[in-house]
Amino acid sequence: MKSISLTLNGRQITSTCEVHETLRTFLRSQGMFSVHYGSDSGETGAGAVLLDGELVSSDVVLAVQADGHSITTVEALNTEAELHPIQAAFVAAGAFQSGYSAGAMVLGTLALLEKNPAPTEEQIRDMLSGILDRETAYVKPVEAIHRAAAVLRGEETEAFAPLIVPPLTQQGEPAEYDPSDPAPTASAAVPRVIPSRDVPDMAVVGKPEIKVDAIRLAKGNPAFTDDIELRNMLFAKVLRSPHAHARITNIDDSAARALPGVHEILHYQNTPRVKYASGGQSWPNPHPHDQVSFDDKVRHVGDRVAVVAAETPEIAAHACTLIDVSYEVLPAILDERDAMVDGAVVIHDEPDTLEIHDREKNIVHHIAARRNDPDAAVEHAIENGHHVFTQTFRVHQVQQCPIEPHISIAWLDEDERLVIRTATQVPFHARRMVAPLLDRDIKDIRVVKPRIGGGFGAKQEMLIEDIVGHLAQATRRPVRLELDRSEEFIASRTRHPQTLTFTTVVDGDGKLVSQDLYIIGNTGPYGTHGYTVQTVAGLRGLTQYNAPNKRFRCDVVYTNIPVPGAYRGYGAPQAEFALEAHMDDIAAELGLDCIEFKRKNWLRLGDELNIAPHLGERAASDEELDEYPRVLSTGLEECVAQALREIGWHRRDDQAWREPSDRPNIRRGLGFAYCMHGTAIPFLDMGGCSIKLNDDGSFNMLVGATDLGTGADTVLGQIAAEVLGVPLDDIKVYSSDTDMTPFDTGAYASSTTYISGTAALRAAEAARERIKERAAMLLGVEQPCSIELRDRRAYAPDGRSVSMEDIALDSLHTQEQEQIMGTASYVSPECPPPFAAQVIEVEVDIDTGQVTVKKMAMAVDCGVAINPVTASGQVEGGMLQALGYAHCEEYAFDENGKMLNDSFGPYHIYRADEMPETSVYLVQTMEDSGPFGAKAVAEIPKDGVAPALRHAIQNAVGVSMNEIPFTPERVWRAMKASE
Amino acid sequence: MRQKPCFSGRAFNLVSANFNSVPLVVEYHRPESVAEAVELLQQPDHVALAGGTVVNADRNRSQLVAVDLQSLGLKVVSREASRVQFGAMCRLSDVERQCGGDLLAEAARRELPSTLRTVGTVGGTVAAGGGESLMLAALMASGASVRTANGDEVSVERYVSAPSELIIGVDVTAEGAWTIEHTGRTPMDTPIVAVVGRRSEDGITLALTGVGAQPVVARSIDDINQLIPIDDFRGSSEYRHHLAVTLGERVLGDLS
Repeated sequence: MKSISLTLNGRQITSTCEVHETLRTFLRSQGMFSVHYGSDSGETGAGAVLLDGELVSSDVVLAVQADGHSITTVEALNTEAELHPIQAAFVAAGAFQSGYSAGAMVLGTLALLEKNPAPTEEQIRDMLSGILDRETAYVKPVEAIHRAAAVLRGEETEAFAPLIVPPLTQQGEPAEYDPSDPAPTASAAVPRVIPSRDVPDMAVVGKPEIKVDAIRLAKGNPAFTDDIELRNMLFAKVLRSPHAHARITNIDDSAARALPGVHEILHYQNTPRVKYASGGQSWPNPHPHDQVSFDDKVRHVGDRVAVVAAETPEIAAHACTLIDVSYEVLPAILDERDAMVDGAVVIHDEPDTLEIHDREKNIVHHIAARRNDPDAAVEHAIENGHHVFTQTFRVHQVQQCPIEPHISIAWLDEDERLVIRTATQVPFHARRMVAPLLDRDIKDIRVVKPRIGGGFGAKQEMLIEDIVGHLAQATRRPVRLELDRSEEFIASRTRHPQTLTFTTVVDGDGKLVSQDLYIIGNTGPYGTHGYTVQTVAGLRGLTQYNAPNKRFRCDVVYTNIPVPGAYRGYGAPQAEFALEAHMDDIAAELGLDCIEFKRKNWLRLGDELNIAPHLGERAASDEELDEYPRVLSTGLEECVAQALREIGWHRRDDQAWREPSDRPNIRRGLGFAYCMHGTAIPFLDMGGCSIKLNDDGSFNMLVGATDLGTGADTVLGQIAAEVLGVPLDDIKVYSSDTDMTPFDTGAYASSTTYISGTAALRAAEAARERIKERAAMLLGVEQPCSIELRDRRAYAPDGRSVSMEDIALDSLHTQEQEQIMGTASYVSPECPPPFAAQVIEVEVDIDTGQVTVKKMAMAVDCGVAINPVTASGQVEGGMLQALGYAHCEEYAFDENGKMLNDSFGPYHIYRADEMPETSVYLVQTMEDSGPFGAKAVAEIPKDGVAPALRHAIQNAVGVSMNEIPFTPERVWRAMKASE
Repeated sequence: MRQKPCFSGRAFNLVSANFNSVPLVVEYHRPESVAEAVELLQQPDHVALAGGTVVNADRNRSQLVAVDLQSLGLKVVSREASRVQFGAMCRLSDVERQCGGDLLAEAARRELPSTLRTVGTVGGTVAAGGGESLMLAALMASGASVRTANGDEVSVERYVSAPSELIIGVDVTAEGAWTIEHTGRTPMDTPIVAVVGRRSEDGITLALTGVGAQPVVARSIDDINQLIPIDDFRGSSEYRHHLAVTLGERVLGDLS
């Protein structure tokens, strides 16, 4: 230990630290919980602080290096209850989603504005270049910094609010494109909202309310999983496989156990073999259950071998090096196309994994669904001279990259129940799934989900909760396990690679007769979400166009890559890339305008979702049903019209624009994609909500829904506030804790606003009925239904009123006392699709193949946006993730299955200083089945970027590429091949 | 008296999976004179700790004794006309500020994002010597020289080819027309290949990243044509060669 003295937030302190200790861990030990871990090498900036006034990543500075220096964290600004103007600007602009890097952003702004009170956008983006944000696409943080600068200069700023844009279409009919009609101008951060006459103006819903968790995020208050201190906590470290496929023939842990400070080591020899599937899904989890906590076989580089619990992270890591593991190395399969060939090694040869479709060929599942007869359609097409098109596409493996990695802390409480505080999207599933592994009853486990620093599907998994549970039970001490960034890449979850083949029959009028999709889905070494992701890929790939004949087939195969699982979009981005690219190429082949060709075939109001009921976790059979779900709301034509105007679609055919004379190596292009998604899983996703009235007329709202930074808590609060006639500030939202809050399936499948939102609506309505009864009693009104709630009061028809506080005090303390409360849950029979139009502008260097994305715009019909600011933030962030998928992110392996780029930098995600311009349009429609007309918005932004980018590259340089991402060499080779 | 070869290229050394990280630094020294630092660095496992972006980020190393150079008075920048003398401990953010509008500022900005540019140092960048380093290439193209603890002054190009003494400063003339051409997956991605060029009284000097373990200096397309670039997941050798020639021609065209 070494003694150091430094100035921390203006206060001189002297303390001790280990010489290897980073400044980040030291500051956290001093209570500066705003300083977060994102990676050891500092690129995320989540742990950035001011060192002598400069913004530095505290991950790469040793605490001893800071001796004698001055350190500032965001806690320095928290001297008063009010927010600092910079914090206030971030809150007002909706610039925080999860807020995991909020402290760094605020501090960076502080340092920037102290040096330069009027920074340019380029300077702002340069400051943000060291703070990776996977959520906001940097759009609203940039806006917040502009606004903060203006406030600190003493200038007036207008309230941040949506821009209302008149519609371009009428009655859902296509609009004539007018190249002379300019797009509306406003800051990129401002959502453009196209109102609908069907949607009434409301007091809280539809308004850009400040997020309910804004203060805790802006101030960097301890809110995340790691932001607690427990006495005697042990630290866990997982020993991981260096081999992609191997049998463990022996483990000798004696040397590691002898290391002072080591408390427990677990591996296959001393851990019960309980089979499970790790995907966070409803009971019963789909088979096969092909995992155990610790196995005698490893199936990917990074697979679990053993875990150590020790007094310090360093001792745990050291102990891992002392565990002697003997491996029998086996051949490995990395590509799904190699998994089914004769003679391929069998990845799951253990007898206790059941319900593998074809074990010898590594086929986990074979999925099939159909409407009518695609084979006959092809035969008929050939006989009648119709067109038959077949194309194969390949999509790759990428990672969700939440800046907060997976982290879980477990301990035994005073009743010796197991408490697991964990960064999860599925607290209730995690509790149920971990119970049998730990040989505990569900009732003896409590899972607490604090604030989550992003998930995007990676945390829709019971990933490490069993490990900390085992260790806490074995040691009877609190145990913490946090994945490092490399582990996040190789040992958490990823997006499924796939090979997709579409066969489409088109008649002489350009109408689709048949669509057939065959997918080889790569689920890696474990099934987890393999079945459901592939079914969603089939659903998304075969739903958005009308064709009387449809067929989906899929072989889901095991390989030895890091485990794919849930990732925002859940199969749709893969399928929609292939589908839209396929449709673009068909249009080109037939000499048709691509949008007109798609329009001729896309789903319209009232059309059937004609394969949906045949796919899914609880699919119906192939037999025809009496009735199919239908599209009951769509704003697609308005989306298309707004998107085309925003991007300046007429330039697509302008030779002078496409080939700028002053830049002979540059070609420009525009691309379009049509997107359709789902809203929750019908008959499966369920959410619950409980609301109670407090003495002062405020409400506590308990929800099982999981806000990952999406703004779900805010949106659910707005729904309840609208029903109860109170401002959002009177709704105190708490989520989620399996002991305290109602059940919810979790944050996935674009379900929270629709499912949990309807539960919130109904719970609020139940409370409202009791409030009206009490108000009627107090006001002497005979018909409680005539009472109206608004402005924190209950009004009688004659205008008399009583305050919510008076109703509360009366009901709790005065007469016929009762707790006014409402509880409700909701599962939907519907899955109303949101629609969208995605457009992109690119420049392609014809000498190098480098693609530069200049602009992205998306117009989304998400029904009624409960909060247009948070909704537009979802679209911005989703588009950016999708751009990474299409453009630059890609897992690279050596021939032995070892990942070559398991860190940020080599695995590149977009930074603030290289972002294309973005615009977001929210096209309102009234979806009667949703709460106040809402549909989903969270996942559809993932669907259109890749095909639109491909389409734009086609427009620019005329090459058609069937594999993503569009890296420079891939584009260069495609151009060379087309010469 | 060799400086320990403690650095590796930060950005694109292919990082091995960090299965068993152990205490990185087991002992720490903050010498107050160059002589003291040099003496410490002669001992086994002692490594120079400049900013920390390389040494502190490398979790695969272990049992290091860190010799922190921050108290050696090496943060001074002196400027005489276009000649700039950077102390080895000057941050890349200092370079960016001091050389605004010049190749060196642009290279510093592109070398590291904001939160690491304020940590990484000029001396550390040269000592690390990564083949992807734009900053290093810019110094080479600018004919920069390194001042070492024993009083020697050698060109950056020569130093990088055979790192030896502790670097105490880097001197460079920030004048003359310059340009950077680069190709990456995204605009601010570490380039797959970049060519930086500066025109001085002696002619045009090019330096290329992404072709070898260190940036390579070239003076003509013929020089570039003879390169056999590295090959990795971001670009094959064939593609990198094509980029080197294409971008090299552009830079020469711009500066001619």
